[in-house]
Amino acid sequence: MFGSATRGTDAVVRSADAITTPGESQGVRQPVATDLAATVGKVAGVAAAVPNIQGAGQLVGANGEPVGGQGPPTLAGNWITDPELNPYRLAEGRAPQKSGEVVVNRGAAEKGDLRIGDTTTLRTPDPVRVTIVGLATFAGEDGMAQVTFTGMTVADAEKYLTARPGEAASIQVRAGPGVSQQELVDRLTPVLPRGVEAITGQESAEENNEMISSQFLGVFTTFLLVFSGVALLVATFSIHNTFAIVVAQRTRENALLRALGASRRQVTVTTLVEATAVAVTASVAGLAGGIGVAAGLQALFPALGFPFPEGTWWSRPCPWRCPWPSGSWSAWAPPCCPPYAPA
Amino acid sequence: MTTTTALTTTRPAARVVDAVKVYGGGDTAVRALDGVTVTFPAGRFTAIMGPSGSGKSTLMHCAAGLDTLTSGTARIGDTDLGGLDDRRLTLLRRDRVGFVFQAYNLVPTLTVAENITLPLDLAGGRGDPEWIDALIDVVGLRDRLHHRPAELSGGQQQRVAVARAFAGRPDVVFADEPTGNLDSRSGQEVLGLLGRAVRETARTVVMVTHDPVAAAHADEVVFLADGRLVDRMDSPTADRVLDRMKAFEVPS
Ligand SMILES: Nc1ncnc2c1ncn2[C@@H]1O[C@H](COP(=O)(O)OP(=O)(O)OP(=O)(O)O)[C@@H](O)[C@H]1O
Ligand SMILES: [Mg+2]
Repeated sequence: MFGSATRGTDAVVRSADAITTPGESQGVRQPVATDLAATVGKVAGVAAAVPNIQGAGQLVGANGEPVGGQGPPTLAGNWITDPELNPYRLAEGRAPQKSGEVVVNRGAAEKGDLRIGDTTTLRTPDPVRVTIVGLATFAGEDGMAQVTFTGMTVADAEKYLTARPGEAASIQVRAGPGVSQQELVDRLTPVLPRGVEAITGQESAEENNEMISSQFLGVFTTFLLVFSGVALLVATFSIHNTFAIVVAQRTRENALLRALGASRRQVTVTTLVEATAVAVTASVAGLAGGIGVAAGLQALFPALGFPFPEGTWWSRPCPWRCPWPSGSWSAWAPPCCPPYAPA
Repeated sequence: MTTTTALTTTRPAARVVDAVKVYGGGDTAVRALDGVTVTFPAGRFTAIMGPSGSGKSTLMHCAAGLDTLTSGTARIGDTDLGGLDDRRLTLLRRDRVGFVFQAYNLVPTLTVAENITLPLDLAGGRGDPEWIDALIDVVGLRDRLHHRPAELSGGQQQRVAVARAFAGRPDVVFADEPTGNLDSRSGQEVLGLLGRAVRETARTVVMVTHDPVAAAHADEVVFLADGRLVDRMDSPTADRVLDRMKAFEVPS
């Protein structure tokens, strides 16, 4: 979901050195000069280059309370007018044109009971009077999870969000037709001053994903993985156990078949065919159940403020593949392993 | 002793010589057979009797190739079972031996007809349809062919088992307490079937039983005690068998 929002960015120009602090995967970078955007924009093959100014900005809702409380990040930045480079889309209203005008993401507006035309305070942390002129969406959702975003004019962003005017966190660049991301980076690199680098949009997206998954989703993902691992283990053992019991019960029938002249192979094949049929049926049932739960979760997460990306559970290999090996191993192993092998 | 000479003239259908069977090892070893030599002549109905734990089932299983002897030899016809690998033993059980157990003889998911032809189906052949047809009439199950075992009485189930045991025209049919779970009337039916199979179609039957009345259907009774052959009796009657059994209990 985070990747798809920045797909239009072909290259990112930023300070080469990150000041890393221990325990943080991605350090804080020095800003780059805003007017570098103009220099970059003149390079052949560049369709658009815009500064990306980022800072903190907490909106105050209609009731006087800060929107989003103290929890999720409250971000502010310049409203990037190039729609390809802006992860947010204008859903209603218009882009900010003069000082004091802002676009906010629709989720934040709803939470703060703010409408287009309302005037409120943005704490950057210095209070700034702002008027809402537009509402934005992020990747088709009302926001990036619970993050609130306020988009201002470049001038306002420079003025309120950075330590010194003329500084941006990075410069987002879009390539012209027929120019690949790598070509773009290769062309940009010679014009950049010392200490400034260009990376492809893809690299940037990967870095962001990494940061997000390591910091934000990391704990959650680990929890889910451990949980599903435990579930798989428990399921495997209980299936194995059940089959062991069934096979033990069938030992008498197998002994009868052997006495009547069934070969070892015939008995084993019979048991395996039955085990396979049961394993397939059970796995299909389990899969259907799992899909049901996944669909339930998919409905639950947006309700908790974590919109799911499009292309979700069914595009993940694990829910498809996991039931099969666990089901088939546990069903096949008992009839095959020596203690239960039909005599 | 006049009978002994009569027996030697008959071809043996099954025979064990100096059969020893030891279960387990060390302190817990059980000597279930302790040097048994016995012949089951072809075309005869032999009953094996003896106290519980005397080794009757063990003798039958070893003679039939369901289990292997610790020492000694077991033969079906001219075939020495000790020299057979698993595949040949399987073939022998399928083609030359029939079984009737005390219970759980039938595969519950198969119909009566399918159970009867199961050994033939396992062999991948059709057997002799006329023979099987005749068998179905003999055991009186024509109207039950498409029922499942659970829909039959215990006596009917044992009759199906008898029909199945004879379906492949085996050299010898072994029956381990085939009437043990039946009331006397159903038991009589099953015993009658086994007797007729021997007398009318020249089959060979070896049957383990505790019941002197059942033993009286046989041509000959052999008595086991503590893993040894202790006596044999020709043309038994229920009374004589009963007396002989009582005699066991006094000395031991
Ligand atoms: N699989 C086995 N493992 C260990 N000992 C066994 C096993 N089968 C039988 N025995 C022992 O061998 C001896 C003879 O058993 P067997 O089943 O042949 O007796 P039986 O004459 O058929 O008795 P019953 O009339 O009760 O059926 C018994 O002491 C029994 O406990
Ligand atoms: Mg027994």
